[in-house]
Amino acid sequence: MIEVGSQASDFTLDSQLGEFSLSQFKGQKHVMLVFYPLDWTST
Amino acid sequence: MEQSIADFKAADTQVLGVSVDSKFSHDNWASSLGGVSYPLLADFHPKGAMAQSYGVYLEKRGLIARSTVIIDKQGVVRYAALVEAGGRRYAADLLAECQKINNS
Repeated sequence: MIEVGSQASDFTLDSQLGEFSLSQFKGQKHVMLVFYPLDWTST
Repeated sequence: MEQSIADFKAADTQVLGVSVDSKFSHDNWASSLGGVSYPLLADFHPKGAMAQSYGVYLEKRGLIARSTVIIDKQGVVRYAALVEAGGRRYAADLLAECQKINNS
């Protein structure tokens, strides 16, 4: 797993609300990535 | 997480869900939950590539491990943890981690 203190790698992915990139939040918001195995399972 | 989105917003944090499902699956699932106001990212093609770059892709199972990563405004990872098998994550605990960044 990525280590605390390291630089997060950028990504651009589609979602049910359109496309999002990590870089679009730079300098503006923290980002919390909630990884989960599959839809229809609890987050 | 949905019930806590306003709190995360107040803590200057954008919540992004991530799984290997397509956005169409995300859309259906979100509807079944009565709507999900934060993006559910589709790490769908190439499958798991983004999760792999965060070290949370389970190659053999073709799934992403249940886990959470918090990245600050400068793009530095400030929190990274797997959810134990059978365990769950609590929005309040994660919110506290986000607030910690604001107070540091």
